[in-house]
Amino acid sequence: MLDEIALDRLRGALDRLPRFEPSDTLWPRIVAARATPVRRKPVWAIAATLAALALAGSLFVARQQPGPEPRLAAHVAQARSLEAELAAARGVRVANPDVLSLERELAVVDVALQSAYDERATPDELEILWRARTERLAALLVAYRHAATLVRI
Amino acid sequence: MPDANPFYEPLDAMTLGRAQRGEAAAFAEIYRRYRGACFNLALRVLGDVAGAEDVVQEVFVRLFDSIRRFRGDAPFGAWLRRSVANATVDELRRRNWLTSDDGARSEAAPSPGGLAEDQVEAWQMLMRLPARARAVVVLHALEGYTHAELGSMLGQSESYSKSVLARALHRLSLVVAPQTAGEVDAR
Repeated sequence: MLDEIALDRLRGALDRLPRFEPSDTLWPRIVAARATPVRRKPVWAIAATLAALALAGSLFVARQQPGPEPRLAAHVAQARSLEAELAAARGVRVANPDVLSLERELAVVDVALQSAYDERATPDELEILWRARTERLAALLVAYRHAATLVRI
Repeated sequence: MPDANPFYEPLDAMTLGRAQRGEAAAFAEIYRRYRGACFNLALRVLGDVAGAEDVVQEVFVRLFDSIRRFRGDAPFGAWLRRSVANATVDELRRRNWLTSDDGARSEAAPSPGGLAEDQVEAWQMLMRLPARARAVVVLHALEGYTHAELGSMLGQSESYSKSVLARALHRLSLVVAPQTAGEVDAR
């Protein structure tokens, strides 16, 4: 309990951290570091890739059973749509603790989602996380719009 | 009031697709959008501009190849953030700052000009911590990583991460001792 209070205080302090920009020379450095000769794939590797793609294609066609993937795809599509709306809403600076709290919850869900993909989670497991993400995005959108309305008033 | 975490800025499918086909302009666009998020994450942990820029450079050079493996399912920002966090922790490991209390910084913000007083205070507070404590504080409190994930990232246990955080909170005097009955009564 005490640690949670302390953690909240820490977050409150860290929220005031300044944001800096890297130097203008960084991008040219990155491009220069990248500008090394690219090793071409040997012919056998290209043939193996094509064979693997053909196999994957045939498996995809053979797989006709409905599963959790359509539900997952629906959540992903909904999240994409909400993200676009949220990107516009975030343009307005708001002073609202609900917004910050929801942003943190979204960060936790995002990290969990990335871990789930890294660990090859099942579509059912992914669906739970995408649903959680969609809910946070929707709540954030409402919170931003509400806060923006208050700012205008 | 802080802005939203810039790693959340969505990446549109068209820019992602162009980058995956190797278009340099698309990479430049991705860099423009996320350079601040990447740089600040590394800077807050490492505490020095040169080291943070090296991390960003390493991540983006690798991105030219690794972006082809990004399937576009998880949010791009979360995927990129994972790369930056891992590269930053690798840098701490190279400096031998993960196994000691080294890496505390006492200087002010890299470019103190134009900063508000509370921003300078927040920066100095963070820089009072050893580097490994900064890593746990930044990645847990600001970026949302769990202690289990941090333990794995640091090559340690979940309880190790919790312990580093608890010590950091004490070091920053953010933990308040429980009030005794007498103190409560005296009010």
